[in-house]
Amino acid sequence: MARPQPSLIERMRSGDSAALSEIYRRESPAVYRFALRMSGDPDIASEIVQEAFLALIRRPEGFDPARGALSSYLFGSTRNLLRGRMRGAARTEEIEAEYPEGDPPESPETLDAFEALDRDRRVEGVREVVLTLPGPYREVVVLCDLQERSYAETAEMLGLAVGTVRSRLHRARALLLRKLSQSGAWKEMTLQSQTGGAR
Amino acid sequence: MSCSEIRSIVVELSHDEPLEVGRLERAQAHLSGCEQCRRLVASHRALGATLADASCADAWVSPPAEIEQQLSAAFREQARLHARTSWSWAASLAGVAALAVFLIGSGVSERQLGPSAESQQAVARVTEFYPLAASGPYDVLDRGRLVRVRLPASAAFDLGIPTRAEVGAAVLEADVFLGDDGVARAIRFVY
Repeated sequence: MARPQPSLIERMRSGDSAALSEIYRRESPAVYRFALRMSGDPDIASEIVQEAFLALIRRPEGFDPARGALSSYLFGSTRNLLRGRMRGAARTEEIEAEYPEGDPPESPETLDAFEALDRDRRVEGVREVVLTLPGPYREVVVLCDLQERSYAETAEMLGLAVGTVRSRLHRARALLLRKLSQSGAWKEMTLQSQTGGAR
Repeated sequence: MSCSEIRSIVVELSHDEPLEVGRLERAQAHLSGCEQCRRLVASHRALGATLADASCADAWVSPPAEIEQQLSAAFREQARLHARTSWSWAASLAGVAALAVFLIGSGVSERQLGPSAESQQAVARVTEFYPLAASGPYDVLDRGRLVRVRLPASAAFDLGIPTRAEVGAAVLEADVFLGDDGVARAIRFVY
């Protein structure tokens, strides 16, 4: 009977640099995009990816396969690293008080003008507004909407119940719409599009 | 169905997610008569479409290539340090084994003193104490026995311990500090 092949992480632990490369190429794009969309800063995202993987290299025993997938472990590291640099999370309580659970903020009646913008400007506008969301709401938007992960995957990565992910996403989307309609940049872009300034 | 209920399921409605039996029909009935809720659902659909566009655009985003190079270099360095540490521990273990042989075979003098007390008696004739890595952390306050042994100079090299030029004999005298558990904690050379 053939012996089971060692996992990538086992190979990496035993000093196999090819295993590290494979892990990095498999996991780093999603980790980087998460850090980028959470921070809005490519330099911070790069530093965080580097720190998360350095931690794995220096302390591979920190990852326990019995407790979840490597991708979840790396996301956990990335979140911890981001937490030290983000101030948005501190506003969670304020937002909770402003919009108590079960009562999401009302959305604007229409985004017609926004929809009239070209795709790139809409994408740019949404990315800017995502960055203004409080951390817990931003996380679910980045994972569920920008990375198209299921509620279950997102719940595992964030250590939350699926129902919590779902309700946060509800509130995050409502907040996004409200912020989009109030965003100065968006209004400016809308004005440009109405006056023919948009591409 | 009320406007408030529509707001509570607007994400599901705008993403065409499955709803409980009958709920979708009730929602559609409400939407057909409520312009405000229709606009709300349309807004969420527009947002969802834009987020999907943002997701597509992100699919090509990757970290800068130099990060992988830096990590590979760090990995190689880590492997090199690990190999050196392993070698050092192996050498220390070999040294301790050699000491044990000498303790048994060369006749030792034994004193019930800690290293710090002993050092006051012979401070001019001995080196400082070198911890023996294989025996764990060494603390000068540890209690134990001091045992004088003779060992080949090459054993000091194996232990990774520098010896002074004036010591330079083929056979060295040394004091080994044994903890109460009998494990060699540290060594110093006598010259």
